[in-house]
Amino acid sequence: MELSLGTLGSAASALALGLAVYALIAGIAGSVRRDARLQTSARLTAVAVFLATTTAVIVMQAALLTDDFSVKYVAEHSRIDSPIWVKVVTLWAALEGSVLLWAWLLTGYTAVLAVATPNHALRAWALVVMQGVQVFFLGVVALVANPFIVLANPPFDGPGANPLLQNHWMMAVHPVLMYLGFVGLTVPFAFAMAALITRRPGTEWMQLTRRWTLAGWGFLTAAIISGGWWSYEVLGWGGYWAWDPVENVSFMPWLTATAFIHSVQVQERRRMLKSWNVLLIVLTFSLTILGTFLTRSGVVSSVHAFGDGPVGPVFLGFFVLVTLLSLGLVAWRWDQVRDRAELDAAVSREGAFLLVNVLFLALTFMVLIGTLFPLIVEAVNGARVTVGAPFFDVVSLPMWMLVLLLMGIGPLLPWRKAETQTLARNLGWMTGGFALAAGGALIFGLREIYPVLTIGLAGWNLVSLGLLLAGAVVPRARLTGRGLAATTMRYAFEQRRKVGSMVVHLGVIVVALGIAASSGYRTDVQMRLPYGEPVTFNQYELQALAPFSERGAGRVSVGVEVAVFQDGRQVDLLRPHINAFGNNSMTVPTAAVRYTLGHDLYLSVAGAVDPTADSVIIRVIQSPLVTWIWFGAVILALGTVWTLVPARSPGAATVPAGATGRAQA
Amino acid sequence: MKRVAVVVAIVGGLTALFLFGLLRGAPDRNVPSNLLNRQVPGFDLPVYERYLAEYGPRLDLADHAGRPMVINFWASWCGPCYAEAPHLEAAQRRYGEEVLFIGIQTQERDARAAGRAFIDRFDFTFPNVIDDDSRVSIAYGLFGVPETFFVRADGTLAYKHVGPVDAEVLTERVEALLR
Amino acid sequence: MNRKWVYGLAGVGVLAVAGFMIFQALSTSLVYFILPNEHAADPAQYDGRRIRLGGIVTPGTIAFDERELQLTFLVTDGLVAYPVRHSGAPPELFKESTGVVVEGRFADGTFVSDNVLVKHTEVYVAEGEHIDLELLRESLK
Repeated sequence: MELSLGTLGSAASALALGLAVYALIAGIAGSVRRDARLQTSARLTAVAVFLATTTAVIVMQAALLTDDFSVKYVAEHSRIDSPIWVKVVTLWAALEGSVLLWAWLLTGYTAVLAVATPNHALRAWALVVMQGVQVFFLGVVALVANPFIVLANPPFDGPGANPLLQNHWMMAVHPVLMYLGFVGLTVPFAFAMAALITRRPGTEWMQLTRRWTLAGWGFLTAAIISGGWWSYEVLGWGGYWAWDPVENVSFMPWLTATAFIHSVQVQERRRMLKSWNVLLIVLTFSLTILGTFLTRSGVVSSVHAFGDGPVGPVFLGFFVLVTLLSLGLVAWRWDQVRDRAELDAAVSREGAFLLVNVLFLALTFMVLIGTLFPLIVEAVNGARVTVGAPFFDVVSLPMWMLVLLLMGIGPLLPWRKAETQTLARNLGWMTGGFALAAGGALIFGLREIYPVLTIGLAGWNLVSLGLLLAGAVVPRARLTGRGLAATTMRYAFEQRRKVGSMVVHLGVIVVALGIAASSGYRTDVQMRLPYGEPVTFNQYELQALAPFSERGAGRVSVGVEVAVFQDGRQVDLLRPHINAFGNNSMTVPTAAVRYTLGHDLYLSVAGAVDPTADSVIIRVIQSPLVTWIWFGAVILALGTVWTLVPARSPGAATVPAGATGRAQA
Repeated sequence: MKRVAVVVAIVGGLTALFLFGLLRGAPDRNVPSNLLNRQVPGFDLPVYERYLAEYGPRLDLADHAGRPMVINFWASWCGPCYAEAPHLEAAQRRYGEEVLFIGIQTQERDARAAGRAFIDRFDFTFPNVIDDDSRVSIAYGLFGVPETFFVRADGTLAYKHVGPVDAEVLTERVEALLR
Repeated sequence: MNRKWVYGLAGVGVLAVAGFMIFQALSTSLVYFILPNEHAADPAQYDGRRIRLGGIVTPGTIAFDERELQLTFLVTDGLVAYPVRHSGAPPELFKESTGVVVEGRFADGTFVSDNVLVKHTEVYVAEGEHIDLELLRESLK
């Protein structure tokens, strides 16, 4: 057998699988028998698994970068004249490679967990769970959908990656973020299972994994929003979310994960909602696997779905296994998991979190129904239907308003029971904020209910954040005698969780405003632009200058140069075009966007660009505040990072006795 | 117990639904062509150099009416085309007297060098032509490459094979053409 | 004890409302996919509803008004043909005898579409010829 990259890759993934199986067995045996040697063996093997999988990844990248078409995956998805970055991302551009990427990240996380975290009673079983999942993914790579198969007759060239995926650099970012999110959230799941197995369903498993959970959630949020931005720039209809089944299945675990990161605080503080937390994390992981099944099996039709084939039933089997095992475990240990304490009062922090859980769970359920409904209908009477976006909007918008409402009032509610006077005062301020903002919107001329409500709730939330901050900073400033600014800074550095979450919530408001404005007030028209003649569009004048065509590595672009004028001056030159990659007959229209803080001007070629014609037809879309969505996401990300960075040691934060500070009250 | 039953019921329901989804299958690429038993579209395409002597600069399908044919569409970037090529050549050597084998390079532009290399590697003794703008493949309703069309002597389509052919398929279908 | 009842009742209430909302929303936003002959068999069923109509573009019926940016053509499944009107340029691969799925509503016998999706389909159409409808459906999926 000759030593080709294909054989090397297959060997590496087979080795990884074998080691993973050993690690799993050793881990189980070591945990059951409390045998430290076996456990250590399992832990060290996890590192070996990571190294073997890394080798497989390196081999595949080498095959892609050297155009080695004897490797099946390369022959099916790569192309000689693609640019280097496209070849690199081709690793995850199709099914087999994407599973390899997921497996690799998973083995990385497992290895870190195995050797770089403090020893703890739960760790051994958590590792067992992680390694079980690892065995599955590596099994798919090595046995079911092997990308390294060697072709007896390698072709001279390949078809290249799917044109939709070559069109934008986001391809390099979005899938990686998504898998980091999914893999990251596997960790709290593993620890939850460990807690159930070892009969320690207290708060340990959550506290140990707090950082992992937040990081995983952060990655998932970033992945979803970056996916939205990618759709926005690439798909040509000026939208960023279509409630497409594949989008929905990444959204559902996010919903349950968001409920989870809030709900765990109740368990930490008051030992309540234990059963909710376990069920939420089980649901999150289950939905992740369900999502990957639906995406890769061809069971639901979607523009995003990639592939069908032998992988489908395998993922279905894994989904059933995971769900039955984890829910079975929860049922088995139900006595220890179920809540004993009851809420003292509905109007309290716990009550608010409970309501958050209920809301997010209801949302998840709605999205699930909407996503699976076409399949159900087809199973029942064979009719083919699609569930349009209106369904999702109608059922979810009221809930989003409630979520925004809770986001404002929740952090201000004390634990146990709210004291009426303080509550009334806070509510008063916040209602004032709401009225001011909503009133402003109405005066401005807005009449659609959801945008107005969203703006009102933005006011509500901003006042709430102000009250929270003031309520924490002002007494501190009084106590230490320092200025407000300095106190706020110090507060931000010391209370990372609180301030981080405030920043995250601020980010959410910004995103909500962006979504409300851009969905409610778009202008979307097709216009005929004669070359050399300016045509008015809202506050702009658009003038098509000339068609152009250019070649890049592995692509041919045909498009139009459009000059954008405002108030007589040219403010931009946009070049919407159509890309054709390799020999693929599928062409991808690429929009050109002018981003401003207030709105986006979005141009996309409609139809074809005929160089002999005297005009061109362009789809022109103006959406207000779209940029706010991306900015809001950045704020969200920063807030998450802030929460994760460890606070300075308490010693440095104490106020030195006898500080004089400034001479003011 | 009841709790467990509920869990099993829900998971069981979902599984049944998904199994239905899996089993009803993806759109079947092997749906019988609607060209079946109809005259296949004609074409007139440039020929690769090594066949110039025998076939001239262009191959017009009409010139070869009255012979059963095997028309195979391929591309140099198509892996499975490489797998089936030896079988096609073998079939040509066996049935070439009675059946006309034609190879059409399609779904790639300006790929003469790659095409030549492909033909030379498998030493195709049957004529290969170039469908540069893929018009012929569109007329024949191709979903992708490779696809092979088995045409009777009267010019009607007997059978279309999607994906690479192997010796068995070739033998079976060519024999059917000769009956 | 009392609180449990309240929560229970509230829970049932919420579920009932949610269930009703879902049912309502689903039935109004389901978009059926049909072939022209299915519509002709029972036009009233689809009256005013948003549907996806699939078929082949009848040769010789494509007209595009560049000034008004109106595209008109006939879509057929071999049994019934309907006129389609679309405000906007024809999508890039749009041509005669191609499979197409249009999304929109019927208005006075004309299908007013806001979305035209070109589907690669192998079904070949000629005047008055019979088309295998199942084949057509599958290929337009």
